[in-house]
Amino acid sequence: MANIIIKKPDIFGKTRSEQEMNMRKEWGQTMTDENLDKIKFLEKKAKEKVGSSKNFFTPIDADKVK
Amino acid sequence: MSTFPDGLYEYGGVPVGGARFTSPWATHWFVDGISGSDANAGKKPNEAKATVDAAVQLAGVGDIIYIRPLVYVVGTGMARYTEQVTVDLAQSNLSIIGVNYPNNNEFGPRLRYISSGYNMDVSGPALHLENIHFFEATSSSGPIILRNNGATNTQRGSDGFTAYNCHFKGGVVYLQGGQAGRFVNCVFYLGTPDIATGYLLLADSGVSGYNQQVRNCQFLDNNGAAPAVNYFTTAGAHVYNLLVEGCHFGQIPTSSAFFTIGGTLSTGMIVNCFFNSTNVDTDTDVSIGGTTFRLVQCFDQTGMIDATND
Repeated sequence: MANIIIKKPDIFGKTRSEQEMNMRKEWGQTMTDENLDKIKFLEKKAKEKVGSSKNFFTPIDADKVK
Repeated sequence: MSTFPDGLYEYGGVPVGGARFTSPWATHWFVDGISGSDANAGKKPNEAKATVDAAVQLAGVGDIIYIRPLVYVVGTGMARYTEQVTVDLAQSNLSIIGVNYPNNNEFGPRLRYISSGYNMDVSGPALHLENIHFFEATSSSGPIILRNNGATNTQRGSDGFTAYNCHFKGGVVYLQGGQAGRFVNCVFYLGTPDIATGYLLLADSGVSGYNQQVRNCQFLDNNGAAPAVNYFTTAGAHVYNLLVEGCHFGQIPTSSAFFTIGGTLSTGMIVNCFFNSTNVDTDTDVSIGGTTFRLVQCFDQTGMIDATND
């Protein structure tokens, strides 16, 4: 049996919110808590609608969530 | 539910054209001008590069670069990354994100280039910037140039460019036309040098702009003094379906109009903006070449601007 090793370049986070939470443990935040909540909402919607678990929303997208 | 005027999102739903879907091969890079080194691999915060350009030159399509802010220096203020950054076609769809200073959500790392040339020189498409503060110091250029040579297709820096919460100081932000450039929650201020082309140039004489948006941005005057030139202009070229929404403009420039929309075929609108002047005259205080370009629900110090002459 051969083992295939898959490198994970997205070790810092598969989504923007995961990356944001990791960055807050390192150097600080890149967005407001409100925008982080909105991006988590968008990621949830993206997963529900198209099954996407790897994506990168920005605060430009978050601003459109009312 | 669509919302006027951009109609871009569903109420409570996912915005149309939202996330960038990350490539399985995308890499995260880290830049730390305090304790990083360009000899580091740059793939972990504790093994970060020291300069932004070192990370950019290693980055590939769809990668993400995080930048740590530098520290305050007594006498000179917040320290800056003093370098020129070049984004080529090989780095298309790159995201460069500044980590904000503690306790200030609107203040990210600073970038300054003191030699001749633009602070950031971009040929690769779909660059995304967040929380980066540019401070250009030469009179012949500006904070950023997004190159586009049209059908030649070797420079596509303005196509799909987005900037969020960025500050651009000194010289022109030069978007050479192209498709769907976005400036959201950004601040433009001239400071010094005060050059002839103004704060934001949306087109090039040879390349028109398409579907560009400037939303919730501030165009500052010179701290109480009127600037000399347009806040934004199109260099005589056409812009199609330009949307300028929710922006604030400082005092009227001394030798020119608030903005100049060149090109007789230009289309679009400027909506819900405030101009810090009395009785803005749409014949003289703004310059609109296109006959189907409109000022909609904009205000000056005396109330809503009469746009019958736009």
